[in-house]
Amino acid sequence: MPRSTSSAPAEVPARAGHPGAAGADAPAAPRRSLLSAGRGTALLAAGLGVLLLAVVTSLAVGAHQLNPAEVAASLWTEITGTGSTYADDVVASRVPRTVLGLIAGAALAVAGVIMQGLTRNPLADPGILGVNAGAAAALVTGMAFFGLSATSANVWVALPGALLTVLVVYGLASGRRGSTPVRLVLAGTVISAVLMSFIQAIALTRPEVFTMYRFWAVGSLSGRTMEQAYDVLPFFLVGLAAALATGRSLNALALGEEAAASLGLRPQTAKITGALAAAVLCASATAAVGPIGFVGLAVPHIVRSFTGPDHRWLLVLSAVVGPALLLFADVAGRLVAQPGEVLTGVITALLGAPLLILAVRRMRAVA
Amino acid sequence: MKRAPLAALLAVPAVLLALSGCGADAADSAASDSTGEAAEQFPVTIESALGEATIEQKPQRVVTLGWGSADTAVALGTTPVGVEEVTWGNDEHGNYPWVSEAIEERGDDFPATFTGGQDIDIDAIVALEPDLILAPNSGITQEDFDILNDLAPTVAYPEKAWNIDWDDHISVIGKALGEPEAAEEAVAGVEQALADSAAEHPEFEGKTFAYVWGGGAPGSLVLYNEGDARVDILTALGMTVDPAVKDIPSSEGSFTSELGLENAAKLTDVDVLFTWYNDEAEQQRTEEQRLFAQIPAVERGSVVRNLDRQVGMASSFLTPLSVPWVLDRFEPMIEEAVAKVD
Repeated sequence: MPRSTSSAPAEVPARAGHPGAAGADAPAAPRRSLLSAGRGTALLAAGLGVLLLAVVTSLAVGAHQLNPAEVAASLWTEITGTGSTYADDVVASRVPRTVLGLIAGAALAVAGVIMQGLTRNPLADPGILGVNAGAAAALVTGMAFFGLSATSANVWVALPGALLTVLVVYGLASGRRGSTPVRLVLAGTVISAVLMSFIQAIALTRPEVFTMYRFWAVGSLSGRTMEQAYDVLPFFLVGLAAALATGRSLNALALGEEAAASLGLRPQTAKITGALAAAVLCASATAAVGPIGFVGLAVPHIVRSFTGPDHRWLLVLSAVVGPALLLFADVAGRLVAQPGEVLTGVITALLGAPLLILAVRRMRAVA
Repeated sequence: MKRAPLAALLAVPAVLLALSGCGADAADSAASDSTGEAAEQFPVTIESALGEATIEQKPQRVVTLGWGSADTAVALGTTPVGVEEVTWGNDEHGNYPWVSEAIEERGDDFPATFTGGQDIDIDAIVALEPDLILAPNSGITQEDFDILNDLAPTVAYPEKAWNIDWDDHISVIGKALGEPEAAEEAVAGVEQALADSAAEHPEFEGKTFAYVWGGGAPGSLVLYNEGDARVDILTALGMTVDPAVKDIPSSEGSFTSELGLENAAKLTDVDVLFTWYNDEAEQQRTEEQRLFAQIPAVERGSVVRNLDRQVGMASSFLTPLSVPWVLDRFEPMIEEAVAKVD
């Protein structure tokens, strides 16, 4: 694994964070050297190759086996609107799940990078800032009290719910001296717990709401439509652009807030931008495909073991590796329990856990 | 369909007569004999998967849990004092309409209702001072059973939760109530009602069907198999489970199997597709999936889409009261779908 081979020295020596902060827990304080541009480009090319393979696999492999020529033919009939065979229908049904896999995989992985960077907690993931719970609570509220039912309306309700939750969590975590990673995590956990109790209460008193909620809440790429992808796409793109722009700030923040400030960065601004970007990304993914675990947690660790700690590369490569992992997980779900199907979210957990353990062990070995 | 609670009431010869259509004399004699006969029946001991119930004398204060026990108790002449509240497909009494109708016909009081399901309101049951608890088609746990059986003899399911053949269900309740002959009559009445309906609809004969639900996991269907009342009522009407469906193994411990929509081709030869939905949103979600929409039965419209929860429940368990009630409503739906089979 290319790791410490680059000759460029770390720009700034690692320093302790400000007193009381969890700076010592930083997952990847840049004591290792940063990735060179050439090696980074090579890694990115490899990542894109894997992603392309994942997309082709997602379109071609499943319960109904097709060869690439048949897939191409079916895609063509789909584009021209003349599809009529069963194979055409199968391929057509795999298009939305592939597109949603690309969006959700990238969104969750990039959000994971940001959250781990912002909180300097290597176990941070989209659940931790209360995003999933916020999206779910907003959805349940809409269904219980405002007669919301259409599936495609989900994102319009889930997104503001998620954003509002992040703001509340952030507000709670921000004392007079700014928010610390520990306070952020605690506030996120508390708010999540409160919102989950609320959902539980609604589910118990309004069982008919729960049947809808349950369908949405299982975390799966299948049974979804292109409309859901179109609905979330603008939010996803805005969130992704904002997220990719935070790379430098995250690198600086990894040194601790005082060090970051000494580099001319305003930590508060960087943190708010990052948190909002992550929230928009998670909410888009969650609104479209339900809560899917482990992608946001595992992908940054996997990518970091190749790229080292530079957040700029970490963000870009996670945006490529995340969807690949999610698509492969989805394909596995179609194959392992024939003639049924295993939910994508279940597979990501099975796949993500060992990968995560491996990544954590490798990190420790290097550190 | 969800596990929902029930309510119960009395039943009478009129009910048996209405259902079986096979004769007031038999029904009358069964009911009028019952008191004298019943005394000879006790004590009775009934085995279940969770333990033994010994009933010393004819029960007066019956409480029911789960599906269809209230119906059957009412049909056999005993209105329960308390029933698990129905929350899915219920009427204004927290009961099923066919049970409420039978109670009203008898002029009895409606039974008290209490919360059932996974968190049974034991205190409410204690307050009802039951001398028999009927739960042969329910999901009660061993822990529930141990508590309930201390309170009053409790009849649970023979092997698995939520699983008992409909005729055994009626028989075991007849035994517990000391009305074995009335139970036999009731079983015969249900069979007759189904046979009459089949005879009236020769076009149902031999049509293949699959009974699916699409509201579970996205991209998957739940298939009901033989042994499930939803399926049994249709086979009793002369229809046949599609062979491709029969070949899909049931999920562990259930009478359903899972079919991913990638495998929807297995449903290609099905004549009539039966399905139910919790609501329109669920229907929309299920039917907008392209692999569902391309199933030939769906394309040609030979589909029974049931959005009526009461019809859904009445066709999910077969009792002396539910069968005649549901046939009146279900038959036209099936007729319409069968007419569209090529």
